[in-house]
Amino acid sequence: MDPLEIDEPGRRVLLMGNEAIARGAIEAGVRYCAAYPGSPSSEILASLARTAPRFGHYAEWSTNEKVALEGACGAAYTGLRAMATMKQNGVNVASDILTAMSLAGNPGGLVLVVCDDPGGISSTNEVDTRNYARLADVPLLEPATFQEAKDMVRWAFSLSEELELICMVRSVTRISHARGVVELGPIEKVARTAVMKPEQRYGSLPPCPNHAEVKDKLRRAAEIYESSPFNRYAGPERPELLVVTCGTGWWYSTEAIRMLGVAERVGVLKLGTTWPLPEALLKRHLEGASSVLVIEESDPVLEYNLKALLSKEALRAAAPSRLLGKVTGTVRGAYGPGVGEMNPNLAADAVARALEIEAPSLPKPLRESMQAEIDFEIPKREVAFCPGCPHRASYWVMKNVLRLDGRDGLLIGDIGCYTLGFGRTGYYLSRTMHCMGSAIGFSSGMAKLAGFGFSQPTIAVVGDSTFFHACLPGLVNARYNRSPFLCVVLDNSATAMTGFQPHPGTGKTALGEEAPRLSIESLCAGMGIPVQIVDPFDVPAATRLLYRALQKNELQVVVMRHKCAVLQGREEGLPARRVWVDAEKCIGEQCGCNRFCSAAFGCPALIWDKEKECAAIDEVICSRCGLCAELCPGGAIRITEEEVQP
Amino acid sequence: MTALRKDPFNLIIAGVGGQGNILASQLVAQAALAEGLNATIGETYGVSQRGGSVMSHVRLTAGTPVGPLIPQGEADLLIGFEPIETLQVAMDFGSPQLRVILNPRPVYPISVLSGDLAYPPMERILDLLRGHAADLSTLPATDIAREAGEIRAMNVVMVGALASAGLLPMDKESYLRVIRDQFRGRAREINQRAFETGYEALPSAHA
Amino acid sequence: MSSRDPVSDASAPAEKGPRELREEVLDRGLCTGCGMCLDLCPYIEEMGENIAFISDCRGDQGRCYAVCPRTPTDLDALRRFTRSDHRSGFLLGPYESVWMARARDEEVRSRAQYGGTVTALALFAIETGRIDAALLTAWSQDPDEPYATMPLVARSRDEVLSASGSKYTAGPTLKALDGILRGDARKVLVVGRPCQVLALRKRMRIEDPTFPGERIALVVGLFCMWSLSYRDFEGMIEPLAGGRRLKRIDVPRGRFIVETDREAFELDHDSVRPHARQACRTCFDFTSELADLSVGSTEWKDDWNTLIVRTGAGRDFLEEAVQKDRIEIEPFPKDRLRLLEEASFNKKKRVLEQLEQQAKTTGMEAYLRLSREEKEFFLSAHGPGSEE
Repeated sequence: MDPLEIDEPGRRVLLMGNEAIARGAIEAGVRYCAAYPGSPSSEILASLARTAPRFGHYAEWSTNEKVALEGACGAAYTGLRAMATMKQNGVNVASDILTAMSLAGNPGGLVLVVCDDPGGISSTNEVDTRNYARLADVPLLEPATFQEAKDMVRWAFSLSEELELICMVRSVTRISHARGVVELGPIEKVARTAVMKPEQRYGSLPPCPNHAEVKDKLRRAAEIYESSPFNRYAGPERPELLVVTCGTGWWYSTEAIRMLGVAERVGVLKLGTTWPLPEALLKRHLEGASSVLVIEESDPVLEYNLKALLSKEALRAAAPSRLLGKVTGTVRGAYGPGVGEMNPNLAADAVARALEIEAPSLPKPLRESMQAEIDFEIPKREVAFCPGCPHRASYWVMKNVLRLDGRDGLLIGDIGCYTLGFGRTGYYLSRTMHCMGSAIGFSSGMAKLAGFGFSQPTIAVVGDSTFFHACLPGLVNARYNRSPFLCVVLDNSATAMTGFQPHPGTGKTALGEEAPRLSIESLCAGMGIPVQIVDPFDVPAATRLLYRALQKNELQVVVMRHKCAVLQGREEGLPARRVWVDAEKCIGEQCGCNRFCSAAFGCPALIWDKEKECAAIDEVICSRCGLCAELCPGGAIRITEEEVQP
Repeated sequence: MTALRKDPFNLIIAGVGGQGNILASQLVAQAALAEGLNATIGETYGVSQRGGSVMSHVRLTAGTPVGPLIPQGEADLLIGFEPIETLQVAMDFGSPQLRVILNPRPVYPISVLSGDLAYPPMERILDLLRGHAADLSTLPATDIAREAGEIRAMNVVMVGALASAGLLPMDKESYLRVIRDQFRGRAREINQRAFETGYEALPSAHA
Repeated sequence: MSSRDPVSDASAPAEKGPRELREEVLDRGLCTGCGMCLDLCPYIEEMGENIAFISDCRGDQGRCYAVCPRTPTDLDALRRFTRSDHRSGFLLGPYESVWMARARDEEVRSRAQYGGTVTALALFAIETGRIDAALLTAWSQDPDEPYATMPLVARSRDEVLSASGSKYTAGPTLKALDGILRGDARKVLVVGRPCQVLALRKRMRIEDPTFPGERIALVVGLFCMWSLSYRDFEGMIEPLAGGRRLKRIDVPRGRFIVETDREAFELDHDSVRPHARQACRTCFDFTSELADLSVGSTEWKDDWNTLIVRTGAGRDFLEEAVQKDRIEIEPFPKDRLRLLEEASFNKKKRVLEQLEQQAKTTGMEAYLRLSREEKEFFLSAHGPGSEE
């Protein structure tokens, strides 16, 4: 049985952090859930969509995060409990409505869950979205465990209703994408009819009185926080060092204390409610603590807020003589304080430094003893397009076209699977990679520079999901302002990077229902932009088409359409055929001077048989797409239609 | 309650995206949970669905759950799905007490396939692990999986081997129950067979 | 420095490869678009008459470099290899005789640019079984590229006829050569521009005599002053032709006339010429001096060709074609020959001076390696037809 559907309070189940967040919403009786996929947040909405039939809530993949939050907001205006979830980049997209709607409030419980990605493990930045809580004047909760992830989300709904203000819950990769034991709670049965009454009006004009009102709400939030069970202290009554921490910082802090064996000397004050800060609670714990060390993920947000609080007249007496953290350089990071992910070792290092322990006796990793014996380079495993990925074919084509064109043409890319165009398997072709849809904006600007001597043709590359998410205004702009560039939409029929979520072009909703399939080509045609479609696996046709398009000095769209290989495999299994290398025909090192297929093409399944001195295919990895057979100049890679063991 | 040799017991599964790393870590954690232990899994995977480094930290404890990241040098057991991934994880998280079970079949990084770098000689990798860790067992898990009928069930073969190694307290039956719970039909059959073959395949550990 | 040119000397290994081909030729805009390297290597591809490395080959030496008409070229060594006679001097390269020539066949002549000599030679070779196919350049059939050319492997009369008429861009026709020879054609006739003839001879010289050497029955070289950059050509033609297929291009004495299916229009010759490929400005050879037979216009009588017999193979072939009444020849008037020589002299002198100048400014040796005697002939003299 799906653990999220178990209605058995007290039952302990193993949940992913994102599932725990979803369960919290379910237990709170959430009715409306919306999200745009993005690691490490995607599994929240996926879990809610999966369980929607059981609990009757609504869940959707919205076209972008702003729309998701606006949808949830709309639901909250009608009195329902609603939630929007997104990754850190998504809050930037949603920030316009977030900073506006908080001023006017909402009657139904409204929760924004943001999953940050410290260290940028699966992101292009490591933005700390807690800063938005202050920016938008909204209460912030930070779970430190899987249990809290569930419980806090549940509580966030009632807090939001009590304050009539959206609440933000900030998770991080190590909670969202980790798993642990969670004790389930009861599922609230909330029977509410959605209605917006005549007297209900929500507008942020005039802003100033509204702003004052939301400040009042925050003061009330701080009062409520004073007695929150999510804030707790553990340790000696009068610790030599008080660690103030939140989120995963708590985990690393307690681990650090264990590692250093300093449990008698160090106390830990864990805060779950980090904006606004509960003053009285902090005053109580800080009074008498001479050394305070703040350990938290990402930016020193808690640290700054604490410093600001301690500058208040009423709290000045509680200010410790030493307040240590990232600002003081006590808490370090892989790339400097506040840069990169926290971990137990960094926390132990900080605690040791705060306690002035000279050389903490921590276990030495094997690296130190092994290093001397390693007389070879360990090859780095670069991120790469998956075997069979249509984007590899598309990038192969675009690389060839740009080279054949010979005018130093540029590939302007952005965010999606095709971000990997920045790396080796995308032939390092992408020249930009920032945020969704920005390839269009960049190209739109660059293509207007002919008058300043700019003569390089431009290909703007976006994905299918990105197209719907953030490309339409940019294309409208380019069309309106007559900016001549080639926009290539890499359509792999999924939001593949984040786990194959459907989008408006796929004909399916998050709930698995049939949906109108929005056509990229019709949308472009509707704007009067010439559009062509080609299958990137037809390399010669795609190359010709793109080359020809690049010769024209006008705005055009080419959709390179081929389904994601992983998705294809999931839906239909591997094709019943074998792709193999005919060792007799393969001329190996002699081919095009040196193994053209593996050296130039870059498929992870196309390996090298040292003994036979010829190419080979790793059957475990190969997706049987067969593109290599087309590229092999000697016809040595063969496809045999036959049933093969999966 | 089931007792661990060391508490928390820290296990890492190291491999490459697409090898079923995450499923393997869940099988172990669920089996532990079924026997009353607490389990935390921290997974590190990058942006790519297939082909990037993947590392799962599985931490078992009879006490309060611990965090998802194992501190450096504190891993007790390392299940390696891929040799250089295993070597690097051993270097960062292993101590001289580390035990390693390794499938010595390489998955070549793109930089090797392109001819820029060489894959290190397998014997050197094995020597290093043998010389610095407490114990190294190798298992041709991919070949075993192929014989079991599904080459991609290598992960479950390795879990079978881990279960038989006697390092974790869980019963063989607990793992099998998890497999039965998680799979239906042919997948269940194949995974059961993969687990059983893996369980029998590590002769040294039964001594 | 070795006295032997390492590149064009078959006994020495090629010391340079793809990197140098890119640096010395492609990146400097010196590619002639001949197409010779294309079929030798999967790393090199062509589109729109641009030739490029689609991926960076790591090989450190290669035939791609050795066969290129813009890599170091020892012209005397190639002349010896082609067994062409030297007595005729430097002006038009080695040759035995020069003729006025034209096809006997009315249909051939009606479709030809001038006298139809090339078409008649190719037809004669096919019809008498001397070759299995002729490698020609025809207008592209691709509706997306109505102004482009394509290599045509002609095996029938209709196919040969379909390639009639001059083209003024640099179709990479030689890319199809290996494909034909690896297919079912045992012997072929190749028609090419001077750069293509040069590339073909360089290739034949470094490779085994049996392949492709002996398989090439006859090399017919065209006269060529320059070829246009395809991109520029398309840019000039498109507004006028509007996507309609080209039928014929004529460049009669300082005019540039383009005919489509529907109409003819004229471009200003002086505005067309600057769009010649950069590589053409470094070309020393406008009469295909390493061919067996060279054919071009007479710049005088529009239904005749100038035909230069350069090798024994060329002479034998022509004699038979004349004997079998396929080709009609007449002696080439002395005064016309002097004009031809003068045109050649002027081009050679201009190019040599430019190459010398470039070698001085870039510090890179010019691709063309000539004997001191030949070089001085052009750089010091005023030329045969000089009025001074």
